[in-house]
Amino acid sequence: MNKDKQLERLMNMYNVPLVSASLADRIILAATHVRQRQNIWDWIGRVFEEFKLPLPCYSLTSLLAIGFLVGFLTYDYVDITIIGDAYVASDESIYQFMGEDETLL
Amino acid sequence: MAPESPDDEYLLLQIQEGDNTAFATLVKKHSTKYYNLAFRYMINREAAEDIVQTAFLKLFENPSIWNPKKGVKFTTWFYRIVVNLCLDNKKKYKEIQLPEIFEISDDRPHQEEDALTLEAQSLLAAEIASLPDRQKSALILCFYEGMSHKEAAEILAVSVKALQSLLMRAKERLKTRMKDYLWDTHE
Repeated sequence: MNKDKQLERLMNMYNVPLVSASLADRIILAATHVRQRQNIWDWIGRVFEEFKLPLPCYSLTSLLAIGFLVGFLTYDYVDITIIGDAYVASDESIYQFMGEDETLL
Repeated sequence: MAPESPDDEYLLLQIQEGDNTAFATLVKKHSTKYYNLAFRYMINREAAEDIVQTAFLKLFENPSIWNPKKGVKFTTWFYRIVVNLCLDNKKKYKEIQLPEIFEISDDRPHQEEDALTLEAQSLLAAEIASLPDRQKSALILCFYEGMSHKEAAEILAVSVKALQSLLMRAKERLKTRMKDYLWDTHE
């Protein structure tokens, strides 16, 4: 038998002592004292899985969101003041708002 | 409905959903296998058990660290976790003691040479544990865990050629260190 074979034989004879019978139970018990951490994105994903919307709904929702965004961004063009119960836009701000369109024409 | 004998990937998904029974099933299924692996690194039963417990608790604490979309089998991925933990904890358990318990797997009746074999085995265990990390990992994964070179290379993040070279160097080193117990015979 050459040295390689002898080494291999010796390596084969090297056994690991048996694991404690309670190892698995110990791990399971220890886990009961561990608080599970959840990835926030997984959690959000799971929440939204419950509310699946059909594709047209996504389109409409996106359009609505864009509408709101554009609305809020252009809001400052018109200077609105409250007089009594009425909302009145100042002439100056209306002309300014309209004028921007006219200069294009 | 849960399958009769759920596979690891299914169990992992259940754990991610917060199912503790799935975790218990996974632990019972794999703890011994990973203990055997950890023991080869630590040659200390308590240290090996600690490593396995830490690995499983890490998984339980944050089950989403295993991502099924990456296409890596759970067992392969968990091997990597345990191997890394063993290497990281080497300093903590630096004083490697010779293992107290060794069983001779031969069926032969006790002979005089058994004492010598036992001594050789103890020395071999210590020599394996003192190999450079990558050589040791290559030897343990391929020889003791019976992995293919490709699988072991994947776990150690090296090429198959590099793994083969690591294996060869590990064996050469062991042969040199164990020379007093190895001799050429012509049968």
